[in-house]
Amino acid sequence: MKKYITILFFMACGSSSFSQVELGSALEGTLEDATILLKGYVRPLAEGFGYSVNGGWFTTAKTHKLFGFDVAVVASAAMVPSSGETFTFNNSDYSLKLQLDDATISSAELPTIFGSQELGDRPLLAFTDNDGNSVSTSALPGAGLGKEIGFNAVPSAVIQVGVGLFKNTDLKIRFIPKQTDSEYEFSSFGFGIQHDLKQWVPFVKRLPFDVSALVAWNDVKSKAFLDAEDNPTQALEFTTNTFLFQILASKKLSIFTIYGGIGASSYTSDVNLLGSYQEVSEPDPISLNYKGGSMRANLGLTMKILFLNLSADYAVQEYNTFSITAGFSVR
Amino acid sequence: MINLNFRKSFVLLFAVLAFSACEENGPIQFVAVDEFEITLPILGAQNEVSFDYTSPAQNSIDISELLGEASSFVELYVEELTVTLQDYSGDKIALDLEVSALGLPFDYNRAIELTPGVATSIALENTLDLLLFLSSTSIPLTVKGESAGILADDNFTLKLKLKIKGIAEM
Repeated sequence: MKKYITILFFMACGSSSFSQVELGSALEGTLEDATILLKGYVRPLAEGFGYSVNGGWFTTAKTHKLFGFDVAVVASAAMVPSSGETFTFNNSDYSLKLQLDDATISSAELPTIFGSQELGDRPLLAFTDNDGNSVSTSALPGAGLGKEIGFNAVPSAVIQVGVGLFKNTDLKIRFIPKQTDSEYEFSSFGFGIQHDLKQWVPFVKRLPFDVSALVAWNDVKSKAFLDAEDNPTQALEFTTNTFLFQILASKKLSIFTIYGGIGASSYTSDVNLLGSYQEVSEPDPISLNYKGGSMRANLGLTMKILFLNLSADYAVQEYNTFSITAGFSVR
Repeated sequence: MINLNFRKSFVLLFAVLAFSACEENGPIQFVAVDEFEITLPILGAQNEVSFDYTSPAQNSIDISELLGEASSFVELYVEELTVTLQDYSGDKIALDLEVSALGLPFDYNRAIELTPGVATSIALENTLDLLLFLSSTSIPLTVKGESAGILADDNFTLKLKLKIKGIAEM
């Protein structure tokens, strides 16, 4: 029974003790149940990251002149809505080996990774083995980020380069070569195309503001090794693909540029537990897949002093996202 | 320098972000409820009207599994108690049965009748709080029985099942 408790607390508090926990033994329960439970628990992290990565692609609707360019660091935070603090546990979604301990109810709200840590917010779950023995233990606690910093958010950070090409078209590149450490790997690649639309519309092109369209795609891969020394194949893998389409408009006023846009943002995120574990017959035992998207509208302000650009914008979407950008721009 | 910033950001980005904050926010509590069984041998009881047995350390309830990875209990009590008479050649025993854990007697109506092979669930008047007297993860049990008549068997066993609820802190 200790093993079940171990997995719960491994998932909630395990980063500092990944290498000390016998994860394999913790997975001896039904993988299907574990997958469903963890999918609900991790969902806002996977979803929020998809929205967070899509932040900061542009800070103006005006494209560069030919071979003009910009380099910027973009930091975004997708705010987790209150609905992302819990997920619904329905007994009917699980086998009899994992049910709510309270037999008088058939469903309950459990904390997600961004949810409450309080005991009263974590209903008891009953785990039953093949012999009918059962143990009940509190649902997973949230990770405590909201308590720590005052709000729940999924952050991201990228470096982005934009360069002006022909016909008022910018190519934007986000690239981070593979970063490798004994405990993790990380890499990211993305690109976007921003094209001036106003030039194609008679009369409109003379108006004193800019209008363009942007499509962008981004791929982020990361892997955290759970037991790098003894079991180098055991890892928690997190990959996210995002897509963004927006129509943009901006107006320059002295050193300031007000910009905004409307469009759509989408993502797919996969969280995979890789490797082989004792008492779990199949390798790579857990795979959580998420896919979603929403309409998106954002509004931002850029301040440009000489070559230096500083921007901040707020995007309204399923997970509202705040982005700040710092960099420089030439032509 | 840039590499360091990358690492810091990326570690924040992914699962480690969510799995790392527990300790900074103080201890996390969790409830664990489990059932523990122990079989107590009553030997040399024939023609006696009473017996008294305390489980040795090697045959006591071990609640270390209930503690799991946690560091300590903040609450620990017995919620339910079930007694089963086993290997008894007579029909039944009418007893005044006192059951204690860590030397603390359970609070219930002690006049009970046990039938061999039948589990008797005992309605506790109050849950038994073990925490104040807990010095290790081993809980010895004591049974003291006084029968209205002479016991019919020399050797028999009492199987006790305790449902224990603990609130532990990590």
